[in-house]
Amino acid sequence: MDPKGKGSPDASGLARVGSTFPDEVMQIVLALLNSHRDRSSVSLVCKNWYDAERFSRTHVFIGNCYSVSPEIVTRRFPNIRKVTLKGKPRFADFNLVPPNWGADIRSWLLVFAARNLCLEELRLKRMTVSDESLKFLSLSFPNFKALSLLHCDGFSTDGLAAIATHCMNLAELDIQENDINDKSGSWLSCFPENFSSLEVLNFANLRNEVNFEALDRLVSRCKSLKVLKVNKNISAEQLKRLLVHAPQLTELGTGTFLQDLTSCQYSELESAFNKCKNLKTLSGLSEVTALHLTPLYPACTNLIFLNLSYSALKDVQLAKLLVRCPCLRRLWVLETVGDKGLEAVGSNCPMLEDLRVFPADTFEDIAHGVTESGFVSVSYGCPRLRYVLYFCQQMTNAAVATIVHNCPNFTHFRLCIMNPCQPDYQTNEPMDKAFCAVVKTCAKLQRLAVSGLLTDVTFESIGRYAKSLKTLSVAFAGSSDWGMQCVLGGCPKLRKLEIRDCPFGNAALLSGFKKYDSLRSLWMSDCKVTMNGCRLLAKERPWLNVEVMKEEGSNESRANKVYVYRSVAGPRRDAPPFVLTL
Amino acid sequence: MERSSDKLSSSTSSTLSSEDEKSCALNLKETELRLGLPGSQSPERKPGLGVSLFGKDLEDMTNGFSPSPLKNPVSGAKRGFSDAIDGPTGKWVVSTGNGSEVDLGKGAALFSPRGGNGGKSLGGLDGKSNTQLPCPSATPTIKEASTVPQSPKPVQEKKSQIPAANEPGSAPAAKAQVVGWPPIRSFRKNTMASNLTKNSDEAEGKAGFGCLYVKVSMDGAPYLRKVDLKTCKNYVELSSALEKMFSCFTIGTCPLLLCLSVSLSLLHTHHTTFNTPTHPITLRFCRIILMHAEYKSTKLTGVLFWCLTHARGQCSSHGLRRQDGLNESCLRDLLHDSEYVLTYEDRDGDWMLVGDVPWGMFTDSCRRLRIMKGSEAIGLGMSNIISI
Repeated sequence: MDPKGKGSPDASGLARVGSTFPDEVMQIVLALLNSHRDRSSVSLVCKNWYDAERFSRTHVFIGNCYSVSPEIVTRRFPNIRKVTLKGKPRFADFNLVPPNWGADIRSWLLVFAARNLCLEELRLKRMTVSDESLKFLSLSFPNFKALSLLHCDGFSTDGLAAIATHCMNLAELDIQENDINDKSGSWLSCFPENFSSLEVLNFANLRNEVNFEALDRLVSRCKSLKVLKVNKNISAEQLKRLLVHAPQLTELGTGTFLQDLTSCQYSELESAFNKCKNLKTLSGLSEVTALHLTPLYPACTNLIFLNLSYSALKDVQLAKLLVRCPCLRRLWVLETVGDKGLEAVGSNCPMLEDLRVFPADTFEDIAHGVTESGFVSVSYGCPRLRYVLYFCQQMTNAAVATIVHNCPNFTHFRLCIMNPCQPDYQTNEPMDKAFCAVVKTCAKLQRLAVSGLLTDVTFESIGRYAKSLKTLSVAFAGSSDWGMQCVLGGCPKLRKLEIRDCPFGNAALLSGFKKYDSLRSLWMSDCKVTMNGCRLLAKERPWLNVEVMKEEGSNESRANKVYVYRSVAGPRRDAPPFVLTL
Repeated sequence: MERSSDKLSSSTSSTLSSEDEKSCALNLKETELRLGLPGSQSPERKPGLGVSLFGKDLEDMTNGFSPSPLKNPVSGAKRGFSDAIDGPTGKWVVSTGNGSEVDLGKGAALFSPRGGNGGKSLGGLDGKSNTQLPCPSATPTIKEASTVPQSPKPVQEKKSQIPAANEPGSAPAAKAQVVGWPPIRSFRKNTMASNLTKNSDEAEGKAGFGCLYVKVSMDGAPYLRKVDLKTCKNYVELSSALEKMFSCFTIGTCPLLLCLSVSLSLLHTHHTTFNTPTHPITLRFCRIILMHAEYKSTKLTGVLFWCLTHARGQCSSHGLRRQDGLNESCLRDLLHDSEYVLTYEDRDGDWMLVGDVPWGMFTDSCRRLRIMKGSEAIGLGMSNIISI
């Protein structure tokens, strides 16, 4: 750490105060500050504090990789060791962003290496990562400890092999839900035989079989292993062997339980789970039937997070499992559990804070699935609910009003009625009253995703009442520009706004041009915005990046996909031909 | 043109149905070529008209065929050969609506089903599967952005149209799908697909259980698409879906190529023994196309190439030569002129021609698809053609 010396001249009066503050104290205090916001505040006080803060910062979080350049980041924070980067707009997850859009980690790694950063942790979300980048990473940073890739693309298991081979101090390898070219499972065998520092290993979403013996030896060696999430190729018998070597696990992702267990295997598995007293998170469990869940019961007593979102469980099976999880705070399920399953949730999980119900089969109309009544049952039983993601086929205004009345503490309310523009199925009215109730009742609401048939009334309410709202996702909603204008005119804390298929046009887009300085980003696709509107915005606000994605054969004057974000790095230098920066 | 149409009529007149003569009323509006994004709806199109392959008015169009609105009202303006496959009868037809003089008619059966197997021997060309083409990337919003949010009806209406367009007794189509909606990541969709198919006690007899997205790239196109293999039940549906997706890139090319290529591969795969009356029909068909290729430039030569690929497999080369007067150099020319070929990358990373293996095996092993230029596809097992 190299702070400016005490007594350096500074014009501001505050600086004089700051300069009498002993550096040693400053260092200690700053070392305790972890929150990015607090650190930002500190850096704004005076130059001394700015410098003290920047040299002591070890972790930087960049919510939009194009808002800043790696050169600027490394110049300001020369001592960072942990970097978190998010790349593509969120709607890239739903195929709304063409491939090769960008957000490549490569340029960042090159700069980090050139500046001799002592990089230890890299957490990436929606970035493009190539095998060459992974290899470069593994070779350039000898202290590298943690790699987490979430919803990334562009790499294959060869890249993982490079990481396993070269990163001698690796403690975390977390590969989740990426678009990975899964060539083989041989990457796991690349960990050297004397390698033992692993604490987190998550390869649940990789499809190819790894060498089990290599995995077994790895787990035995790594005494600090806390998180292990294996993929589907690991059988119950193999899982038992792993558990015997790692009873200290706090998070477990199982493989597949499909084969029938002999009674001997069954009891061995049960006793292995019995020894896992520290288990807080359980996931995996794909392809599992009721019979296979019983060995898990001993491990459920301290469970906080149960992720069944890949298990097609039915209500009875879920109920039996939930009875054994009294401490459950987070539950992710598939809609196969039905409303009855959700009633069981309401009855058995009084501590529940986070509930996510995912759809099972997205393109068929299914008779089962969840409705509004399941959600209402949960709200009666789980007053502490604050995060909900709910996919359903039908909903009513009255149900939502009841739900938020029971659970006024929502911070994240994401309701997805699967048919676009579907009204309240009982009254045939728009779903405006539902979301008005949500924003009026839930003062702490930070994230909202709306769906169903909605008019501008919803957006008027959002603009007026959603004082804490940071992220808003809108699809197939609204009646006119006025809706979006209300949101842009209200919502003082708004950071991310993503809109698709709404009748908002240039008037709406331009009404918010002052607002965009405080937004991380704005996404508008398939709305009524035109190129001229975007050009006007770009002219009004030259420091914003106003990007339009052109599609072949589309109307020349329409701007079908617009991505607006603030940036100190100027327009992108690596934009592909279909991205126009205005 | 008249000369060839006479020949056509004579070869297939026996199976011309009167119903189709009625429907072949001159309707130039219906022949109007429109560009919609794949899957966008052309609501003002009337159903009931056939596809015009060789119609007189085709000469006015750049890509040699007229769109048929009939089978799948949700899909875009362009249609291909797949629509010529008649629903309930499971027969191949080549029809020419719109008052053209070339009147093969909808009922014309150029490849009738194998004897005892009825409609099944064409392996999937049965009534159930071919008319209902879900659009994996349907975007009704492009044309209807103004209407969708304002009225709750359009999307639901669209869905109800699909069953209405069914031939009676055929399976319900997967409902119209908007790009990226509902907002579930492909990873989850694909994982659920493979999970659910393994849970055998969940079998409910539904078609298209789960989904399996693979990327599709086309040489020359600026971006890739994804197609859900589970929504297609056979190669024909796949080729149609692909054709719809990439039709905006194939102006000037014959999208029929894709349809025919895989469709005929299918024919080849499903043990078609050509020592039956259909054999001469096959070759006659090939000859027909070849003749028209003279007029339609090289676009249809790809079609012919594929016909011959698979027809040849069944008859002696000697017979082929004798009957059609074709020779090696002619084929080589065709090969070079053919526009696009559909290939896929299998689990081992090898690039294979689509259509060789049964559909089930294909969906299991296909990792991604590529529509590559015919000239590049020469290495992919085409050598048996050259060595006639």
